[in-house]
Amino acid sequence: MVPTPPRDQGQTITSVTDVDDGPVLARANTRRLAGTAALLSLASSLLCLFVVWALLPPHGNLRHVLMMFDAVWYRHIALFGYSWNPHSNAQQTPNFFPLYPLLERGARVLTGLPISKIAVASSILFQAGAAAILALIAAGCGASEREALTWVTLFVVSPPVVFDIMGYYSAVFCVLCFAAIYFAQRGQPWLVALALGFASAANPLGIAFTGGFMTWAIIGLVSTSSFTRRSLLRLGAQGLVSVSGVIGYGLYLQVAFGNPLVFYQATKGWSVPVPIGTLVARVVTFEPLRASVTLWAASPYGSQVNFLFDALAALAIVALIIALVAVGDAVYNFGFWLLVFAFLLLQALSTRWGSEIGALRILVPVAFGAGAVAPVRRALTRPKVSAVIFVVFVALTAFLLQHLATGQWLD
Amino acid sequence: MARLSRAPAFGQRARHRRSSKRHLIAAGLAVWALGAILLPLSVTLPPALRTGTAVRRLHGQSGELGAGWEDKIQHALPKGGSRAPLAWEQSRRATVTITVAPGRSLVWLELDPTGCRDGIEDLGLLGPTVSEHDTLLLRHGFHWYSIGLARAPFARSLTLSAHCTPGAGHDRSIAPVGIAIAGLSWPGSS
Repeated sequence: MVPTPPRDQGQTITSVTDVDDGPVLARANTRRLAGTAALLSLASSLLCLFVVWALLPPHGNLRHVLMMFDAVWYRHIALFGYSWNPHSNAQQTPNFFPLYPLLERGARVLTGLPISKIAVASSILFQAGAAAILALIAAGCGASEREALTWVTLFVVSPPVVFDIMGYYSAVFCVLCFAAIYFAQRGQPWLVALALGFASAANPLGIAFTGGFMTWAIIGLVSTSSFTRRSLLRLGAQGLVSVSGVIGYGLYLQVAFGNPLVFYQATKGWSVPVPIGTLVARVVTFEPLRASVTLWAASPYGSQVNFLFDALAALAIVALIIALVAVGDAVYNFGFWLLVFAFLLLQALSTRWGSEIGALRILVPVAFGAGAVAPVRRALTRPKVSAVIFVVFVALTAFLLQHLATGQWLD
Repeated sequence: MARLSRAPAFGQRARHRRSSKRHLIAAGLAVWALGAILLPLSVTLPPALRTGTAVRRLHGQSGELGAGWEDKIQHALPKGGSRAPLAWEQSRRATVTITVAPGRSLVWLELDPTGCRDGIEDLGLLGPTVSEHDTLLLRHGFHWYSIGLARAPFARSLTLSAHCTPGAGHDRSIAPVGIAIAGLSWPGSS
């Protein structure tokens, strides 16, 4: 049994009927819509690159700033593969999942270009792909062309775009996340599982997505009273496919280093685990979010600003989750469950770190996928509301681009 | 007809009940989130903001700190009753400089010796002090010290060179010999 299509996402694009906004989008227009969305993304990425280049200090190097922070690790893995020192407490290469460096390495073999150029070009192209899929998701949720493009415009100027012009996995991850939502919308659970399988090879959050996928699928089975042995077996198989990336990575680590959980061991060294009771208490009381705000208030310079941005992003995600619960059948929204599980895993990781981490660059794109459902998207793409969000996003993105150009810590 | 006219009403009521339930759950989540975030923040934020004010003030003065400083402001949250500074900058080495603008005749520095046993430290002063070569004895903890300066129409550097007093000795387990600064004041500067 295929999980039931979510009620607010189950329409195909040909049958979109939005109640009060613009003309119905015909299938013939979807290609144009996706193409326009991709072009918007390309324009935004190129503008961001130009801004970084223009803000570079006199002896700054564009290639260098675009390959800072975690991009250094991905480049290293693409060039030299993985290494592991069990006695080190420092961050090590197994912390970084293999899909993106594999893509970098493959493209290098095919094109002969340096990794830095491949990294930046691929991030920009993947981001364009993500924008195109997002437009299709919005259209599939009943958006008019204007609404869908407004939604995409907000996505391509949102602050996480800063990481999508760098050598980061974020854009690939975003494409896979949006692809999963798109396939779920079309009632293609095997393709959902496949997209999530790849996502689980790109970032640990892919594993959280599997939690979201399974929850959504089980709700679908319960709501249609379709619990049969066959449907459960199929669901189990889809679950396995959806974590196939991390399973494959674990097998590689077993062969290479004799331990399939090296990626977790390597994380334990620099991010000390906390007892499960403490972890739950900290997540429930939003401690990482509060700690980030307090830390920024006490010392409003340096990386504290980034933690504050992450805290604000986490707060916005909480608000979105509540809004989705309030306005529609959130339990049938596949993106909603991706967002909830990703949020919870990121909070669990943040409790170990002590501050809110990664909410801006990881959760905000997922929020665009989940928030594409009609009531939320319709409210946020109203001209005045979207204009305000646009201005806020551009200001924040410009701030982060300035930080990037001047080599200040972002991640 | 009666059944037909009632049917939509039942549907509306069912929809209304579902909608009310959703709103109730959302309101519960909102109350929980706001309570869990705002209530603890109402306690932790005010002292953090006081520390932030101290950090900003020192950050504003950091242009006057010359060579040898860490270029990184450290901070602490206020503790009840304690008058200890909330923000300070540590020296990277025993000798540091402070930039003295033209026309200044007096500087007050809030300093703490680091690395000497019992915190007793001699601070050699070299530069535009009244006597050109001067010495301060720094006591344990942050205290304000005044240094008289010879007036000059151009900017100069005041060099502070820290040594442990013979009786105190350097305790390597504490820190390298150095100075922490929590404030600068230029009374009477023109």
